Order: sequence, then C-alpha cells, then structure tokens
Amino acid sequence: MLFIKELKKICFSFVYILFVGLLLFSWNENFYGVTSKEIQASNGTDTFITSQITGGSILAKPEQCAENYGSIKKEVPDKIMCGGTDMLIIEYLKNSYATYPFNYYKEVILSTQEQKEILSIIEEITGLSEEQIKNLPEDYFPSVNGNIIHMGGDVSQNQDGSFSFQTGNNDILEDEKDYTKHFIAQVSYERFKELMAKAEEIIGSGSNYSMDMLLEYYGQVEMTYDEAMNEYNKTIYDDKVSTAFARLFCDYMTRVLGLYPIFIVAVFWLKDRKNKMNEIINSKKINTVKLITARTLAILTAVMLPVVILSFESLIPLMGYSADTGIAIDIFAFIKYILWWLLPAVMVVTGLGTFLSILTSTPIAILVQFVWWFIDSAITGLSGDTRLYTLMIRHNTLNGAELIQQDFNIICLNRGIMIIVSFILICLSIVIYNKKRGGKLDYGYFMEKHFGIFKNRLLARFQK
Amino acid sequence: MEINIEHLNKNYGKQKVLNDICLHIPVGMYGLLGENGAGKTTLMRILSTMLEPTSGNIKMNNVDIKDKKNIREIIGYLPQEFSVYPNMSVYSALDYLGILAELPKKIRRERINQLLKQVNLEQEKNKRFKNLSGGMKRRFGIAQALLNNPKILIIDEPTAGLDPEERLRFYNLLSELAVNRIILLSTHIATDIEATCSKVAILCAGEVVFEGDIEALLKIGNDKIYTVSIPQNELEDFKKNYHIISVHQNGKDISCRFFSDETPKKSWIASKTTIEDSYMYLLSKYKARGEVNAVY
Repeated sequence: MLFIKELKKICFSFVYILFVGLLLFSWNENFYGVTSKEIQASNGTDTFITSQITGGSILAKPEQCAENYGSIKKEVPDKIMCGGTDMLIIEYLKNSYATYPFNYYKEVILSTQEQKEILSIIEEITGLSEEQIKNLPEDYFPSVNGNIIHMGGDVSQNQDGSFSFQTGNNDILEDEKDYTKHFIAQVSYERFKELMAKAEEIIGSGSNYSMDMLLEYYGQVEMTYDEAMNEYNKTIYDDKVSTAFARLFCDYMTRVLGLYPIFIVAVFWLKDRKNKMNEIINSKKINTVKLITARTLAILTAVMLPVVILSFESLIPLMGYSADTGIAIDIFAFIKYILWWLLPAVMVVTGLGTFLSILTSTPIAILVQFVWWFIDSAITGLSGDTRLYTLMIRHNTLNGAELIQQDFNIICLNRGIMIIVSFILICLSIVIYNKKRGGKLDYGYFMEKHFGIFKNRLLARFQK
Repeated sequence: MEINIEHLNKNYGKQKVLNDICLHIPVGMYGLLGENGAGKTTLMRILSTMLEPTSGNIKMNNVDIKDKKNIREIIGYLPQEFSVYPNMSVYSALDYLGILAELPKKIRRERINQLLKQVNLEQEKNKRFKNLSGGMKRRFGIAQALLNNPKILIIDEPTAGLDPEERLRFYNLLSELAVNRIILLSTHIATDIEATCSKVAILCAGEVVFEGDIEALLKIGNDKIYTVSIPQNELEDFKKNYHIISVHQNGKDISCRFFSDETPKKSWIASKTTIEDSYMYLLSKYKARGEVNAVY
C-alpha cells in the first residue's frame, strides 16, 4: 500500500513528467521508427538510406552477386594507413585539427614548429615532398576513403542531397604502383602506428589519429557474400532478430537513464524536508527499512515503466514480422535486456541519489551523478567497450552480437557490481536515515557549527 | 500512565540546552511554558524520539525512550513547524500518514472519517492542503497526531499565528481530547496554559524553574503585582527600578503594571495576579539569580 502511495506521489510530480518528456524526446530522436524501417527495408518497400549505405536491412537475406553487402569491421593495414594519412593531410593543409576531448568537438591550431613536425610525419608516410603534398593529384586517394568523400571522380551528388558513388573497384591495392600518383605507404604498418601516436601527441588527445579512431573510421571493409550470410544468420538465429533491436534500444535509453533519474530521486527525498513534513513522518511507527525500501522500489518502478512501454514500439512490429516471415523472434528480448542492462544502471543511480540526499539533505547527488555520467559518456566507446565500472553499457549498432559474447563475462561482472553497489548504498541510506530520524546524527547542527560562519557571511553579503 | 523524566540533559557541543530536567507528567493537559530559546522544543523533540538526549532517563507509560518503535506507537506528535505535500488533499494526506502509522486499511478509513469530524474538517477533506487556512492546518495537525489513537499527545507551540477565535476553538478541541491521555503542550503564551492546563512546568534557559498546578503558580505572584499611574517623563526611571509587565496610556499619565517584593507605596494599587504575572515574576527572579551567579 505504501508502495502504491509513493508511486502515485512520484508519477504526479512535475519532475517525473519532465523526466518522461526527456525520455520520449530522446527515444523519438534516436530509436523511434528504426524497427519498422528495417522491416520495410527488408521487404524492399523502403529506401532507408542507412540500409542502402550499409548494404541493405539487417533483416534482408543477402543475395548472391549483389552489388555490395555492406561493410564489416576489420583491421586492414592498407585501408587504415590510407584513411589516416588522407585525414592528416586534409587537416595539415588547413591547419585545423579536430579533437574530441570528452567526446566534445574542439578545434586545434598548431604552431609553425608543430606543423613542421606533422609535415615530416606525412613526408615519411607518403615519401613525398612538401610541394608534392600541397599539389596532390585529384585521384591520389580513393573517392570514398572511410569517412572521407572526395568530390569529383566517381562521386556525384543527387537532387535529393544523397551521394552516388562507385565502391569496390577503386581499391588502392590493385593497380597503381606509382606512389606519387596514388597513395602507397612508404612505411610499415608498425612504423605508421608509431607516427600516428606521435601525431596524436602533437595535436592532443581525442584527435583523429588514435588507434581507436582510425579503426572506427577506416577499419571497415566491404563484406563478401559469405560474411554477409554469416551476419544475417547471427541476426536471425543467434539474436533471434529482437535481441539486436533490444540492444540498440537499450543503448539509446541508457544515456537517459544514466542521468535523469537522479533528478527524480533527489527531488523526491528532499520533498519531505522542503515541505516540513519530515518530523511528522519520522514520528510515525513505520520501520525505516520498510520506508526506504518502499520508496526505492517506487522510484525504480516509476523510472522503468515508461522504458518498458516504449519497447513495445519495436517489439510489436517485430512480432508482426515474425508472423509474416515465420522467423522466430525472442519476445522476451526487450524485457531481458531492460532488466539486465538498464535496471542495474538505474539502481545504482537511485542508490547514489538516495544515499547522498539522505546524508546531506542537499541536491549534491545531482552534481555528483552528472560528473559520473559525463566521464562515463566520454570514456566509453559506442560499442564493445564495457569495463568493470562502466555505468552505461553502449552497443550502438544492430550488428555485433559477437562483441556481446566476447564481453559477456565483463558485462555480467559489471552489472553485478552495479547491483551490489546499489544495495550497499541503500543499506547505508537506511542506517543514516535511522540515525537522523532518532536524532543521533544531527546534520543541521553539524553544518551550522562547522560551516554556519560561511553561510552567515554569504547572507550578510547579499543583504548588503 | 505518566511520563517520567529523570535528570535529563541535552548539550549541543559545549552549549547546554537542557539542564537536569526532572518532570512527572500525569494524565490530562500539561503545559510547558517558557520563553523562546528556553529549550521547550528540544524537550518536545526528545520526547517524540526526534532527538537523542545527552544523558538522563525518560519513561513514557513505562516504555523507555530508547525503545523508539514502541514509543512511536503510543505517541502523537504535532511539531511547531509542519506542513504536508501542498497538492495532496486533506484525506489523502491523512491516509498516507495513516499508512506510515501502520494502521490497517479498515481502521484507517474509520479513524480518518472520525477525526475529520472531530476536528471539523469534514467539509475540507477533498481540499488541497495548500488551500487550508492557518487554523485548519493546525486542526489537520492534531488529526494526524491522533491517527494512531495515542496515549500521549505532544504538541509544540500550536497556536502560533492563529487568530483569537481559532485559538479558542483549538484549545476547546484539546480539552475534549485530554480524557484518558496525556497532552503535553508547549507554548510561550501564558494565557494559553491558563485556559487549558491543570498542571504546568516553566522552563528557563534549559532549567525547570517551576513545576506544579496552576493555583500554585498563581500564588507565587500574589501580593507582588501592582498598578501605578506615573507621568510619562518618569517612565524611564521607573523601568530602571521595577520590572514592568505592561504599560498603557491613561490620559496624560502612564499606567504601569509591575511586580515588586518591596513594601507597597501609597500610590501602588494591588492587582489580581494572573498566570502571566507569576510567570514573568519567576523569570525575572531566575534571570537575576543567573546574573548574580555570573558575577561570582
């Protein structure tokens, strides 16, 4: 009964409505319609641009002799050296280097001396002089070079703004041997890596030349028919279709759930004090364990409820797809991933918020959680980068089931740690609440005694 | 049934807020009188398990204060400053607090309806708490404190901010409730105690300076309260020599009500002692003693 009352209290609060609004906005921006479009693309009834570029819907069975089958991540030294050098030359010529410290864009402009050092790196890789580098032939690099598109040649822009280009036949490896006309690395792959590390050092961390970034942008090669069939089989049989979508759904949701619930938690716990209700509540018979447990469960339910509801937007079309095609799907995939990936994150956010709010009777938990969320977002890659203390598990792709299998143990350990930490935080919250409730921990008096002088000075300054 | 407080002390750091308090509070309305900062709220908060005493023993209905769960079962507490989630209706708020008091659903419903009738809030049961008047909020406070049908009701400064009519209504309500239970009422307004309580304790700077019934308190001020008319320009000098309780303009002169241990002068007219007079007299005596002690 208390649980229902607390749940009602949360659901009718302004901060909760705001939370649901932000959740809906994020979902709408990132995931809404993805499933339907993939299903339509697999029927050939939609021209979903993502599907076109990646070689079609992940639900479409590859056909032999197709033009392309999309791309797959693979570390091919020539591709990486070609892409990395191309980008370095572009940025060198403009003296404008993009860096992403903490995932946010920052332009770096180098000094003359530093530019000289970058030039010497390019010269060593390409074997060309400064003059030659400044006047490279138009087709020195392939038209489509990872994330770089060189206009002209094989590339043209359509009326709708999309690009047409030929891929596959312009591979640098096949014909030209003249390193002055086409890019041919003049260094080994090992030396290239050393030079990229040097470039990264000169430009700064988060540049385009870390191995992670080079692999992200240029570590993609076109799939063969067999590889495409393998990917398709993984989606249909290993992931049972719905798991792939559940992971992507959770990836988008986790960004919201790693931060926003803290507002609900902090506001909820500070509400008693703000409304001068804490003494009335604390004088009642209810056990502290029961009170905090009921409130924590109410917060978790309120936060998870809209997430579960939103997952139906993807699950229902997938059930239709399964009925139409006879391909079996895992109808519990969403709920499993929501409980496995998302719930522990929400639990730890709730635990931290509860603990800090009860301990300090201030909204400090919001600041602490924001810092954690920001750092976690900055250091965690978009997929396959789960560490022991990662708050938000990222998997920003429909493919890549193998990454999950590969990281399965660390993910389990990570989620286990999150659950244990949240339990510890809730237990500590109960102890502290009980002490405060019985007057054994008089935080107000402690703060007044040790920090009252600062408060008084501040107030005096404002009053002036 | 009684509350026994033995040698109770409460310190905040080096500051002594309650000093060796010993009180025996029987069934009925019991007043705790004292000026602001005398330690009344601290004592009330200790009795309602919100604060831990530094030392001393307290038993309420033979239950030790350390047994917080059982104490919370037998007490009802109305703090000096309280409120409720502003958008909650009166009924919902009482229902929520009833759940926290661990009352079964059936009993809770019956009790809430009965209390709403008793505190005259039946018509307001669907009103949001924020829309209640000050007096209504206080009556709500009493209703929530009575949810568990407590044997001991602890009420801290309940009439602050109430108009005279509401105050009267509130005290009538308390008098009705005082049957078979202890109502401990703290206030700094002496007339409130006079109107409702049969026994009273006076706190001054954390110490009990008086404990007894109202008649005994009245006797303390007997033959010490006078009224005198003096010209306005003598008022300042008069203030230096006597403890003035009240003054009011009387034509060109000033009429002063004051207390004195001296033999009365001819111009002094003996006045009937009120609780407030005795209270003021006691406070002045206590403070004078404190000053003397401080000198030594």
